[in-house]
Amino acid sequence: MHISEIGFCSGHSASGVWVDEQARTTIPGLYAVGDMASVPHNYMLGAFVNGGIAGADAAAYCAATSLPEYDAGDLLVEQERVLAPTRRADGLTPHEMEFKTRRFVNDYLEPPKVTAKMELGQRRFAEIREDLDHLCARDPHELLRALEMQTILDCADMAAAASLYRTESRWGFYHLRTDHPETDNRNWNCHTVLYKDASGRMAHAKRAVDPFIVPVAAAEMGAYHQLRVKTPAAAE
Amino acid sequence: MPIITQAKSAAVVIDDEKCIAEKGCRVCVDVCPLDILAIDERRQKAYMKYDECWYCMPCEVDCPTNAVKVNIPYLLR
Repeated sequence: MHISEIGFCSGHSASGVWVDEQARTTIPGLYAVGDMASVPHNYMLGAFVNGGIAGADAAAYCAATSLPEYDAGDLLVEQERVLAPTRRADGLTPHEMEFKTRRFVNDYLEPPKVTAKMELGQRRFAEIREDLDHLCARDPHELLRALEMQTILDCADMAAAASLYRTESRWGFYHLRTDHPETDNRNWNCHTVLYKDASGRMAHAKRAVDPFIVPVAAAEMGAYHQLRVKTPAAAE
Repeated sequence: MPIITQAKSAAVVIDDEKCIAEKGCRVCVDVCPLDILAIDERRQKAYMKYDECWYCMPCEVDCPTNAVKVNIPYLLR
């Protein structure tokens, strides 16, 4: 277990990969399952069912899809990116880089969320990204951890960007912003989606919330507003 | 690169007398979801190679000779 697990990893926070009922992501043929997609945290039976549904749908997709042409050059570039940590005899261990990334998530992104702190965090994450050229793996297990560490850094960047985009507070302590302490249903009663724009940079969009399948009484919708969470004074 | 190792009780301890890795057994290595167990090529015995145990226990339960012991951390005992 790691220091920044709560409120950071998708499924343990108000975030995750967008999927439909068959666990399809928005990229055809790519699936996301478990608590990084639509299964609640620690819901093991739900994870098994979700995995079964995704597997069956993926198998049907594969049976109906022939392998596309691909660019051999692209493959070489990706191979080199994946294997780069094994080409270095000296540098930073995956554990060191993962720990620093998670430590900064704790220090800069955890609620109560402060805009200036999150922007500082983004700069510190960029510094870690520059250090990826020093990431070093001595065997296949360490290479696995080296690749996972890079994904965790991506998650940290996404968490910072998504938190800054939503300029309100919602879900009690989960998204409590000291400089936007009020819930703003007029502008933010929606999902927010991160995607890559044409230049490959992170971009934001809003997505409407679908009507609930099971109706929820208005009286039950207020739970997050009855939490006795103190709103700290803005620090900046 | 220069690496420092800090003393810490191993989470997964293998009894070399009971371990039958030399006969080709790989049960504990195969069931570990964290990929932390390995076979010492020289001694032909299983051992805990990476300090990343999640204490899920299948290595201890599935070992055909009861050679594996998982020690719950002192902090939680």
